[in-house]
Amino acid sequence: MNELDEIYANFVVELRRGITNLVVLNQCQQPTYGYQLVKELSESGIPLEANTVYPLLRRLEDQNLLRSDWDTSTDKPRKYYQITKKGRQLLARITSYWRESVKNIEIILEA
Amino acid sequence: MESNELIKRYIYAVTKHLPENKKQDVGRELESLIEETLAERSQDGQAADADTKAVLLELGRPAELAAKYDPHAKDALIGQPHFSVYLRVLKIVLLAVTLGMAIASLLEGVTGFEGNVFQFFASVLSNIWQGLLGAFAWVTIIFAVLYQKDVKLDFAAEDLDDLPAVPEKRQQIKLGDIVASFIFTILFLILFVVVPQVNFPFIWENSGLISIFNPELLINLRWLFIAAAAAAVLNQSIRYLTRRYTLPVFLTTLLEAILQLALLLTWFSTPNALNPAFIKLMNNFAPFMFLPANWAPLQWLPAALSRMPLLLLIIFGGVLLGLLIDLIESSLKTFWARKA
Repeated sequence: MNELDEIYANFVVELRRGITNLVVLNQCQQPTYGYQLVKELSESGIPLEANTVYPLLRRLEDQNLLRSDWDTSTDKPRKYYQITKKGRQLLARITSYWRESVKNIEIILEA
Repeated sequence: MESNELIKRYIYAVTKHLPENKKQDVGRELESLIEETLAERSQDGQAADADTKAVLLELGRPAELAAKYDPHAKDALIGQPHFSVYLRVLKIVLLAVTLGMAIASLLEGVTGFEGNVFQFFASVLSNIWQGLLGAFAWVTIIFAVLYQKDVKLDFAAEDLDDLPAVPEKRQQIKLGDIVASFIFTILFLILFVVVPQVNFPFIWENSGLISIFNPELLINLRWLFIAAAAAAVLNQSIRYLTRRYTLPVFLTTLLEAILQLALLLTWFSTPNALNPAFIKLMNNFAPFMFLPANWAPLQWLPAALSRMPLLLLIIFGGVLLGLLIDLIESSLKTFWARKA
């Protein structure tokens, strides 16, 4: 990997750090489990590794932004996550911040 | 290794880093993730060992995965904001240790070091190195603990009104000046205290190396030399720490000047301050410069001065002038800064 690639890779990591939270919170408006989330996001062109998503779900739960329930009705037990009221409030704020930022950044980039 | 055993070991390796109340739940969830991934990858629903390995490799090293579960995980020994303070403190401490060890070693050399000059300098360097290693270790350990334990460092500048004023250009002390004085002080110590026999070497045809000053007298006066040098080092250290003219800078400059004057007066007013061999050699050229004499035109001077050989009187005058300029400069700048 040459130097530019390395700088680019670090840049992308920094950019994605915050976006990941937004995306995961958004997807949890419907009850969902980790593996499903990884697949959905990948199909939507936002590939996230399971080793990023799973710990993130757990941290969001610790912050009471998500809650979780084990579904043991099938032979494959899965842990489902769903957004809480606090999570919704945060999501609304982050979403509007995101839209505003993208709009402004677009304006700068186009100028 | 069998797939199931490998998975068990992997999950154990991850969860053993986690808090007790999370271990089981995270383990169960990871297990479900791995099983689901494997089920999808393997053709006939039967996971091959190679598939298991591939899936676990994608999840990454157990310790790294575990770290992602801990939002307060720290991947640095000393991070910000502690790191900036750490660097600042380290610089000062290392400088102080270097000065301190250098002085201590020189003192040790004066009070009796067995061996030649090279062995002596080797021991000085070794002492300084030991001191630096110790200081580095302690500062690092203390800051690592402070950072890891999240101890807030109380920076005085939290309140914007407490930020110190930017010193005006003429108030600032230049680093170059400090370094130059420091080197001069060290040279002074080496010449007159460490190797008094050599002191100020003078080479004349056929005469070999002759020291200008009387070595015996230098040895007798060594504590006065050391005191003057210590005052100079103290002054330079304070200048380095503050980098601007402040009251402590002025006071240590005054102390240094007083000690240097006392040293020069005691030293030069002694009749045999110059090396007799040197006087003998120079006598043919300009005897009035080197012989202790009562200077008829200078009778109004205190006896201690009028008895000095002219060479010493000139040096004394030069040093006195330098000290006065230095003192006036720092007092003016200090006063000006306090008024501002």
